[in-house]
Amino acid sequence: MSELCFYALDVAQKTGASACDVRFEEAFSGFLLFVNGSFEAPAFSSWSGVGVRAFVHGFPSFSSTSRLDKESVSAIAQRATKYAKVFSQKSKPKSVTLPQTNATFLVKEKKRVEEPDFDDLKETIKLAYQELKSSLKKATLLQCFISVSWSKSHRTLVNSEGAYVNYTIPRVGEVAVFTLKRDDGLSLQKFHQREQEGGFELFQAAKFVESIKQQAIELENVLFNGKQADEGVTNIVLSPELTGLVSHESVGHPLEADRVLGREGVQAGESYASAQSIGVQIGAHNLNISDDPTIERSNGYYLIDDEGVPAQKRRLIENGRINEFLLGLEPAAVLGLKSNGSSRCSSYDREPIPRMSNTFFEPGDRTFDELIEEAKEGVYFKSFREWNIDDRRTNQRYVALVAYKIKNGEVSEPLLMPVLEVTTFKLLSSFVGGSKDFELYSGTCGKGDPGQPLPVSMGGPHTLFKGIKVGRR
Amino acid sequence: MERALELAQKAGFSDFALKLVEVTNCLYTVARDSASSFKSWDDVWFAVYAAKDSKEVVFEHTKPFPSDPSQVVDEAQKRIEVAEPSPLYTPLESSEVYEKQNKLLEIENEIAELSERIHAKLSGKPEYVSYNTLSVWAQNITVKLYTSAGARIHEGYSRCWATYRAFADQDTTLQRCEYTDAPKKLKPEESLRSVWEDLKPALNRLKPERGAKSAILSPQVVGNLINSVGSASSAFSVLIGNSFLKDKNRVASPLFTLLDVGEGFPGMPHYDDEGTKTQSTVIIQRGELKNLLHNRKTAKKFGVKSTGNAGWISPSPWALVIEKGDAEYDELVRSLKDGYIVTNNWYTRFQSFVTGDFSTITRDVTLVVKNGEIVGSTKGLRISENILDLLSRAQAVEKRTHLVKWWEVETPVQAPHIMFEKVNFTLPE
Repeated sequence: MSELCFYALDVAQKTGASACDVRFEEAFSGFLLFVNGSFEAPAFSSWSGVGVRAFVHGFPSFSSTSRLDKESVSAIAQRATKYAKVFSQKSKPKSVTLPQTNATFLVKEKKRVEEPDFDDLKETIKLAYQELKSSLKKATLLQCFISVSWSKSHRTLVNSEGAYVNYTIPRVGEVAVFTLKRDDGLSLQKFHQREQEGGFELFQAAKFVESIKQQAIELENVLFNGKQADEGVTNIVLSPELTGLVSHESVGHPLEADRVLGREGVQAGESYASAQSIGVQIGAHNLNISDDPTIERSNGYYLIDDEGVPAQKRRLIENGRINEFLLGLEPAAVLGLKSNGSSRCSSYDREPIPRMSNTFFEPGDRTFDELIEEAKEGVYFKSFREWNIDDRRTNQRYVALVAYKIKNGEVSEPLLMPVLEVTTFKLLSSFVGGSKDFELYSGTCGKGDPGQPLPVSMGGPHTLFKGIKVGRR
Repeated sequence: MERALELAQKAGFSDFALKLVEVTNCLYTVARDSASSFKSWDDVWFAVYAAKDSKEVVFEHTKPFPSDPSQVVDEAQKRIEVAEPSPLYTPLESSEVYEKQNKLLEIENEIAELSERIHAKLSGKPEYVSYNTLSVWAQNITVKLYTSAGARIHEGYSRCWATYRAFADQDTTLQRCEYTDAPKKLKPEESLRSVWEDLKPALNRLKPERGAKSAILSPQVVGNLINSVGSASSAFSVLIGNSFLKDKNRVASPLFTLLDVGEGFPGMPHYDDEGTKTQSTVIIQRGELKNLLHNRKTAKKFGVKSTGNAGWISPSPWALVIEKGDAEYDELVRSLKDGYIVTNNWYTRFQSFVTGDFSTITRDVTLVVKNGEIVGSTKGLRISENILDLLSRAQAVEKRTHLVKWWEVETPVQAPHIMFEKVNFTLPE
């Protein structure tokens, strides 16, 4: 397909694009879904196509097709260029420089995703369901879905500066959603997601079954023994799952350069950060938050971004100050900066835009027990269900699913849905420290118009924040 | 495609459906008064549903239908080996034949023309508006559906929607959206004028107050929340126990009536994925749950007829229409006396789809009403509620409805302003 990509490049340049890049993708996915004790119809899909992005005076126009013939590809290259010319007149000119990268990377897999062992997968899913049910002592299982998915994407990128990048990423994932109910009607719903880059060797049956079972046992304990939290200002310890969510929602998103520049204003929103925010103190002096796509086997791993820029670790917050944005080529050009390899697209028919990869609080120097001891009194938020944040990323809420009271420096009884509703600046400036342990949780990040759901991870250590108000749902 | 059905029958499939779809999209965005992107993407894809011995499989490929149809049947043979018999299996039934291709839009040219009007209007923005950000998306869709039961559907339709957001400053913003079936029908001049006008009284910024307040929710907010009700009304969601409508009867105030509308709503198809005619289905009538949305499988399970909402696996809504009430908007504001007008929201998340407990955060300004008059605006409020409890507290419904579709309202909605009592507003510390 490289010939088709070079052909598109040629057409775009001949018709007047000052710079352009072309992406080809060939991908497939599969999905098994088990609902309340029986399998739904398995689902399979594949997609392939070419996307062309043409620049005129720095204005990007994007066009794509899933018809892999010269005529269709020529048409999209011409169309992209035509409208780059038309709309560049309604935009401030800028100089976008494309990279000259020549690279290939491949995520290795021991058990190829092309060859699922369906019998094995189905047995594992059934076993997880049976173990979940048999682990329950008092709760009624209202509903339960378990799914396993797999996919592989191969992409080629060429551009008018001579870049030639190839990469292949296989991926496997699992999701479980279940709801437990008490006789008096109170119920709690768990959403579990885990996804990694690699082959089926990453889907470890015993670990998966045990994980689902333990989550059910823990949820049942909260459902039957959870007490309302005391409302008021206290200390909180966030698990790596919650810590990661804070890093993603309150730091990663608002530091995406396109949001900073207002490009997402009618979709995902703008940001508390402006182009002048680099160096501004927004958190405690020992707060360090990063985004790093180079962590192998993580859900947001890549070595070259979708514009051909080598990936690198981004230190978003350093010592409490905004240190850098997530940058792609175009917003970097507007800001007079260099891309730090943050541009990603969800498939061939989407333009690359600044995105997160693996976003996390940097680990600290304490143990988990030391953090809890230091908190003395408060709430340990272990997992969450309901969450949201305003479109400038300053006002957020996390409702715990599993949480415990911290009493006399120890984790004590479970709490029923305590609520953390706080501003970004209050939370980040109340950060005391983190533990040495470190864990990443996979998730799907949403952004862009048309939507571009992307695999990411988020996490960090356990973290302690002092003087935070906790409420009830 | 006919050949593929013949081969499928010979291969022993009891049911076989083929759906070929071509979608051309065109999206233009403006950020802070400057053109920011133009995207056009053409997708051609085909999807297959196959059943044999009560086993079912679905697959789709984003590429043209192959010239050798045996490839598709061979793939179905291979894929169905993975399936297990489905307790919901129901044969395909519809043998409808329909062919109507609406004249498709010249979407790129129309968007380019529209952009001229938009930028002309933007150049005359009032002084108190710092900048505007907007998007216009147009779509042509053609669908061919062939099923082993005899359905032969070939239709084409278009739709487009626009979102306009005006910023006085980063915290004083207002949004409008439009939805129709042709870019020429969009009225950016009128939308921008009205969003600018309505932003003016919002410039007086007031402190937000938490607690239970009477509130008018705008069509954008109602549209966002009703999308959740639309999903919950899928009989599949109810069947698998993941719907707050399961086993419910009275689910809203008697002032509240909700329909799902396929045919007749702008930019909607006449037939679903099983070849069943789309229709208007009353979901909630004067507060009572009347119908769920069905495909053939869920319909059989519930002992009713399909409502034309397939999805081969799960039915889903086409467009949601809330019946208009009898109050003028100005009357609603007067009768609100003291409370909030929530103009927009986003990030609606459920604590549980079984219970319907959710929260959503206001976006753009929330207008503050004192003594029946808008006196300013506030920001930062969050609504924390149970969706059914909230709907049961509807107090008055506007006599006008508005078409809504934007980034946070995926299924198009026709909705009025609705006034609710005791809406629970929360604030961060």
